[in-house]
Amino acid sequence: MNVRDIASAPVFVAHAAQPLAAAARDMRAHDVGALVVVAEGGTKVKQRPIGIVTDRDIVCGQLVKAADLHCLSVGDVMTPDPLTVAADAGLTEAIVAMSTRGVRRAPVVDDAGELVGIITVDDVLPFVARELGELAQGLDSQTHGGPALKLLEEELSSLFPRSTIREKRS
Amino acid sequence: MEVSELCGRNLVTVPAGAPVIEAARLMQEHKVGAVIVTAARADNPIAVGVLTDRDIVRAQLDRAVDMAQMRIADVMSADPLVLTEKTPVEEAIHRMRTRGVRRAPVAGPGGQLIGVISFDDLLAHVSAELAQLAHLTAPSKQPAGAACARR
Repeated sequence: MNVRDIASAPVFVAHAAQPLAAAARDMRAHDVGALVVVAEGGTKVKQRPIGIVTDRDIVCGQLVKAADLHCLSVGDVMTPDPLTVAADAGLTEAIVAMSTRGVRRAPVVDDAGELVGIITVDDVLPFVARELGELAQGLDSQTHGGPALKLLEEELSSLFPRSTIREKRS
Repeated sequence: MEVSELCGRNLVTVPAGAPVIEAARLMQEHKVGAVIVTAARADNPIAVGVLTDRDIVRAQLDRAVDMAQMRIADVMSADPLVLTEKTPVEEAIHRMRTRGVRRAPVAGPGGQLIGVISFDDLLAHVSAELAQLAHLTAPSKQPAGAACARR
């Protein structure tokens, strides 16, 4: 399971020079809690993440800058240099990186460092839970557990395409 | 397992009559995304709402007034799901999911606010139970100190 399989795409973006209120309106319109801030000058498909801005950044940024939302730009309150994870990174790798940095979301980038999506804790959890559910079903039918579980999982995977397994079990 | 055993580590409260900027300062100071809004009732605070960072931003977009001029009571989500300390964890998860909330104030026998339970608290609990289960099925991989921790 790779980050690319789970990440949300498209991802909603902002520019550092953009008025903060406009970014906040975008967040509300798309019902998201964060925007990835990308470098100016990129095309629609070529975007490099330089920051991230969340609801919390907007609230706390106004206190730090002693200025109102309507007088600030995205660059004033964003968290610069966000943790990024590679699209072909493993899920475990991404979880460890996010947990080490203490963040709940991270922009996902391709080999060239271009933004391709965003991964959040909320995206990851259902997958982990589902894998666990599959494991538990294996435990039910196999008293031996351990190596038998892995065999069973492999058998199932070869018998059914992944999507079919998910469908049958949800 | 009851919610009283898991709740309360991050209880940050603010009175309903306070300005929104006070809640913002508390969020910044305690590094939390939400505060529990209280009203005093015979010296015992009760939870009357929950205010998140998102509520604040959206209110600012709608009203274009300064955080110092907005009252928390006008911006918060009122009528919160309140759990009692005796609520079983499974029921807490179910009720929070049904209401679509990630945190709920927890009240004592008289209705007074004693804590807050969050999605993160519940997740940590479920994960810990799972880790114990994993030790059962793979005892050779039990990390040093785990046996002590269980006592």
